[in-house]
Amino acid sequence: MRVHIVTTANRHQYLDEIEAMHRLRYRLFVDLMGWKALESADRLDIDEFDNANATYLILIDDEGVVRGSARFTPTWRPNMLKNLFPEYVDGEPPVGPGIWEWTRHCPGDPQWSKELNVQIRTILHIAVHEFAASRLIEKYTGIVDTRIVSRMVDLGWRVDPIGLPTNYGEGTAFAFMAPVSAANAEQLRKRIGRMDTILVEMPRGLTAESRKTVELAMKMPNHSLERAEKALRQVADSDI
Amino acid sequence: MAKGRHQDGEMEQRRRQASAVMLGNNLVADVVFPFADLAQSADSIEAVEDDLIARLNRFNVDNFILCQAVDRNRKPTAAIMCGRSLPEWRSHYIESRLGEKDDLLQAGLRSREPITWNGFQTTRDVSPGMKDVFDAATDHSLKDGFYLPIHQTDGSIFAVAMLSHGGIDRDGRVNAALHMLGIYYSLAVQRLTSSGPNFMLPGERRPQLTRRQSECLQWVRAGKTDWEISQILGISEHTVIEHLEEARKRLNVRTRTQAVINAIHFGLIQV
Repeated sequence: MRVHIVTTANRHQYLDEIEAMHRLRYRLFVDLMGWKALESADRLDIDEFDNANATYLILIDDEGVVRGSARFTPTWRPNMLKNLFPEYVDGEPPVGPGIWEWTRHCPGDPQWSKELNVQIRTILHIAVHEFAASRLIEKYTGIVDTRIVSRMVDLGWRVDPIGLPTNYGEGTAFAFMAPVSAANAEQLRKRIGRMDTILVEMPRGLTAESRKTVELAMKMPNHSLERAEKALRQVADSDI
Repeated sequence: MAKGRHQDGEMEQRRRQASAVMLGNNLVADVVFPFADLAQSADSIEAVEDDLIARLNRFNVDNFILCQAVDRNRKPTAAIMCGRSLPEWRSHYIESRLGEKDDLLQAGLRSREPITWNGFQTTRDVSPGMKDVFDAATDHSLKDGFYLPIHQTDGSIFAVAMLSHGGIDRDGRVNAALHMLGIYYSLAVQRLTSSGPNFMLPGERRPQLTRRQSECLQWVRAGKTDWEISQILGISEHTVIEHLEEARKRLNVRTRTQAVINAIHFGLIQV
């Protein structure tokens, strides 16, 4: 299982996976969490922050099935805390380089096995750390349901509240800021024995097909990263 | 006191005006403006690059590349897209994996301002890895570099890197000129590489839909069938199907659902 960074630049390589992500989000947030405001006839969870500023982490298993996702928005662009729910924050919502908003965290589906869900959850959180390293993110902001906080803490996050708990209809949630810690990522790696890099970002210019070739190269057992790098470089060089 | 400050302000203003005039006469008007024009009208990257290298030579810059910062191996690395690079330096850079040590990539993630090698060395602590990069550059007789990060609105990050054997004049106007040349070069590359299939441009030329196409997609999002949409809009079911088919083509996707998702992504229909 790997986690892919999907931006507006490379989203054309991931049309099927993006659709599957919106369906999985609907399943989790509407069917299971009961967030009525998100109900939609097409059973896709999409809101106004699913726009060109959003960067997604999408967890795709070895068969190509989407198993989880998360959404990130730089705080200097319109985001949920600043533009939709400022009342969740006591004072001004944090904004600045190194601060990104983390929303729609969607780790697995309870109808899958417990072991698989533990894998998904842990891998996704490691990927969130790797994403921080890749974009030089120091802190994530977001809104967390009070029922989920313990899970975040269990996964090693320090969760600093920046507002008081607020009832939103189907539950209670509060705004948080979570500093990134590399040590935490290493702990999570040890838990599931994944010391390799989980995150991958495909350059723009690849087609969906050439992206899959690169992925195949990355699965090769020996010197996999070097081969993948070489394949990537060749495709990137030849595409322009 | 108040008067003195006022005079200082006036001096400062005059000084700025004077430097703006010099900038205009010497560099921007002669060197940059013609390139900006060419970059927006030329029909091949080769033509743009031929022109650019000639202009850059006037500032002692010998070569340049455009790269995209992509994440691999838990660190941003650069995928070179095009340019006129020095083959020896380029292969050394790749084979010695200097990209993994090159802190300019990291610095560029957080900055929108150009970074010169010299400025980098004098204002920051140079890491051992970065020192390796500078040492290797010295071995290749490269004296100076100019690195311009270009942040797209879509989250992707490009950079134009320019290198010099002779050393780049540390004049603010030279920096400004290189900055502008770099910006127009990257605009030209984006414009000229946009024609292929499946190629969505960052920040510009988002797909366009007609009002009817948007309306039909909006009702697909609401779960309506083709027949229901035709009744709501007062048009034939056949026309609805045509609108949706055309919208699908313009959005460059395979299915209607993907068309809805992409239309929301690009702000063409309301959530």
